[in-house]
Amino acid sequence: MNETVNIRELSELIASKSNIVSLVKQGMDQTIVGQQHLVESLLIALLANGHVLLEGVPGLAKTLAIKTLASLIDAKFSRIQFTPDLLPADVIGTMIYSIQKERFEVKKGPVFANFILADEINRAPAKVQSALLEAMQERQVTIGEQTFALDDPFLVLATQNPIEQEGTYPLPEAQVDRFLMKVLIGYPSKTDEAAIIRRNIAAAKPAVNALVKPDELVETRAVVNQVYLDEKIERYIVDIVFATRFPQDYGLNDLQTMLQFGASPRASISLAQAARANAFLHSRAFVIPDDVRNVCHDVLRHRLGLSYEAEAGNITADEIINNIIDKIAVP
Amino acid sequence: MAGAVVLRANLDSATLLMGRITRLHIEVAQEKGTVGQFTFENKDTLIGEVEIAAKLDADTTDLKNNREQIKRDLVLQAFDSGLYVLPPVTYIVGADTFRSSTPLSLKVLPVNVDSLDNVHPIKPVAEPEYKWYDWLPATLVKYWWVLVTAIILLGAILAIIYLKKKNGSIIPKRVKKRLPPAEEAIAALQVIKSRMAMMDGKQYYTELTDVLRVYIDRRFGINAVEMTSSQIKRHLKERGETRAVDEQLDMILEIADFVKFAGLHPLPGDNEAAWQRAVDFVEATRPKPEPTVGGKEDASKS
Repeated sequence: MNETVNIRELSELIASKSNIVSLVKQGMDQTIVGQQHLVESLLIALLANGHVLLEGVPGLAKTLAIKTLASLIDAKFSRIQFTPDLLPADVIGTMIYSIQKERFEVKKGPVFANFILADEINRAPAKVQSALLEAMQERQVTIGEQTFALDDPFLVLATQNPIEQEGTYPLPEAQVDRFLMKVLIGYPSKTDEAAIIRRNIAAAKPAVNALVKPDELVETRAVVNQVYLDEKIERYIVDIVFATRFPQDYGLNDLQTMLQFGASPRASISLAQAARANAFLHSRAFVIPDDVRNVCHDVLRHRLGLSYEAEAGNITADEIINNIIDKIAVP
Repeated sequence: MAGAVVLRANLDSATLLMGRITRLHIEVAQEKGTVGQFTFENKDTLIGEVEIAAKLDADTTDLKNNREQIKRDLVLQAFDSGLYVLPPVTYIVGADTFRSSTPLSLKVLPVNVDSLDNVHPIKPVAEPEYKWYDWLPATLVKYWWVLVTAIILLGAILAIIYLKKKNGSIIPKRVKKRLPPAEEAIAALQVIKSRMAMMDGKQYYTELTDVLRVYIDRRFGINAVEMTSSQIKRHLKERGETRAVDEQLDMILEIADFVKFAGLHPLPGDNEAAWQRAVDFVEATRPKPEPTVGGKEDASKS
């Protein structure tokens, strides 16, 4: 076969870089039992240069997962516990007066790290949420008159608790759109739970060593950006996103009353980027419809505005996405 | 002393029905420039029972010879029957007083009243005659033809919408009898083969896999048109009916994915081979005719 895009060369390049992913995956598997989807989602976000919003009850290894990832990549890790009295300065940093130097000095906040766990992000008021979310979007922070670029890689893993909604500040739609993916974490299986017990009560716990340098990760990302995305896949992505906005145009008249608003153009970009990362994870140099489908729920579920009818009928965003991908013809 | 002043008064009618009105005409002839005043100006009755209902404006006429005539009308009304002698009309000019000479009498006639024998009880409210269109607004009854036209038009519009929704056109669609899945797929594959040289790889493999997807959908009831290659393979493997030719299909779908999504250009030999594999897959999975009792096969099942 002849080829226009040099898929063979790209495949070789991907094969050479895939060992980084394998190393991280193995390292994660040593510490985290089960939660394959969480681990894969973290890797996709890492490779696609996006952020992740995690939703799950406490105790599902959310913190452990990101801590392990940070340790494996030899990167700086910060954990910010969001509370109602948290201030933007507690996240991004502030100017402090130094008596010795007789001038104001910048005290950088915990946002200056490679991996940030924003625990229970919906417990802090909107001004603190937007301080972090702006940093996520711009990848830079301004303190006083100085602007600081954030480190690369920069991955924010925000968590939300689906229970205990009293006294929380739900993330506005515009803010939540900045997360590449929203991942739902469920309970582990019986076998996995038993393995978790064994591993945690054992005297010796597996040591996590840094296996990947941040620079290597940045290089790998450059390869991910080369993964070939055919125009047929582009059209498939556009069809899926448009079906969330105008379901009636795709024979999904039932969904018209279920959706208040559909996914944004940022969703299309995120879907394409996450599909590329998914293809890379499967050592493929080009995106196939399976890649789009694999990441579709995680990328779109937080970007759909469900109507009151949907909420009253207990219709979830995932069910709507299932309807859409079952209706859109695969190229 | 004022010059000769002549004062005359007369009634329109000497008899008056109770409650009705009549006019008292007053004429004064005097020298020009004489200023006088009637005595009734500040009164509302001539005598107790005869009321002045209105005092009309004076009308002055030049009589020449330095004389003028003033005409004035009073509207009289009485509510008590009887014969009344009206006092003379009095006109005062300076220190002189003038009165109309002719005495006037007015007879007020009573109104006849029915005797109690003619008083009838109050009749009940009459029921109007009922018509079926009484409940409609009067405008609608008057312009009924507008309503009828509107109903006909609405009916026509609804019929057009219904037919368009049902058939996509107002003219009812002729339902075309569809060939059995295998026959339809083989026919479509033959068309693709005839156009193979004219198509680029992407179009060729798109059409080839589309034919197979539709065939799998119709033959096995799997919604293959909305499935990815790996989903189709998984579903067919789970069913186990196509085990013998699963590999053939896997190869077609794999090559097709490379051509469609990786931008690879297949060699002509690859295209031929993929086409043959597609035909083999359809032929191998075509439903086998069930042997009948007499050994004859039911040709209709294919």
